[in-house]
Amino acid sequence: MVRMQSAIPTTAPVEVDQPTDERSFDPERPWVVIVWNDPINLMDYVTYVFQKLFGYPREVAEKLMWDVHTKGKAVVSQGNREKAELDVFRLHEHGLWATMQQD
Amino acid sequence: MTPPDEHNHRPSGHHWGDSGDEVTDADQMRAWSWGPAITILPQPDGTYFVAMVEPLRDSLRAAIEALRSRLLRGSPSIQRLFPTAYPDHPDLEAEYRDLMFGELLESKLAALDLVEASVAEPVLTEQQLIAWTQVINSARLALGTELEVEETGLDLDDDDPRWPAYILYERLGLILASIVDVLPV
Repeated sequence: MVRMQSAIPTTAPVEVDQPTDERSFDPERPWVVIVWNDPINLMDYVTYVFQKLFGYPREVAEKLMWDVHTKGKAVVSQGNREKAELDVFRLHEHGLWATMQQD
Repeated sequence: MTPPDEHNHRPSGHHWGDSGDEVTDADQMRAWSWGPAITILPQPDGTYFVAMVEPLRDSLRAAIEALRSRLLRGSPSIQRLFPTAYPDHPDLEAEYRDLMFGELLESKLAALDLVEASVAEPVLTEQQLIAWTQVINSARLALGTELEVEETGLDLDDDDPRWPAYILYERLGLILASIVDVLPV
């Protein structure tokens, strides 16, 4: 997760890290961040968010926005789980409908 | 998504005089002000001059209240502001919710406070203007969800009970589009 520390003290027994084979994902495979179309967000706003969050040039951001609009979704970023999760969170902060999944 | 300028082309409902010409909400606001309903001008010092007709500013105030009450009540439409991150992984989604829901809610409430404090200001900092986009977009998402806006928009008559909420939704779109037009990326 992105925020690793908690200021809240706990009296519960400290859990050791679970072995990765009990988790539902493959730690070796990269993650992709997907933005889904919705009928409410303004097209120009979505382009603006892609430029602002990912530093994409306007043409790239517009192309992604059009992909979302016409194809229903687009992959807007990828990387390890921490990076993908941070991207999803920032997209959620900006009101975009974003999910992540393993490539 | 909603294409540009859609918010300027309202469905029919307002008729002016005997001509039968359709008058949109944006036309109406222009007529009140003898100019554009909203103008945002970047200033040399990095701030933004913001002028808008009172009905628009009233809409912004209404949006602040609408969003705050929905966030605090946990209205169903607010779920749109907290989407699922991991649709394929319930265990990871539960972790994401635990860690991120509070942070996301705090970020939205903090933006609300910033906007409430600057709603009547004629000059805004970039940070304030960004908070405006966050609040207005969140309020539009909640209102649009309640109105069940579809990809083709909504076609309502002005005697529809949802009309006032729809006008609010459209006016928020007009303000948001005007801000996105001038904000640097």
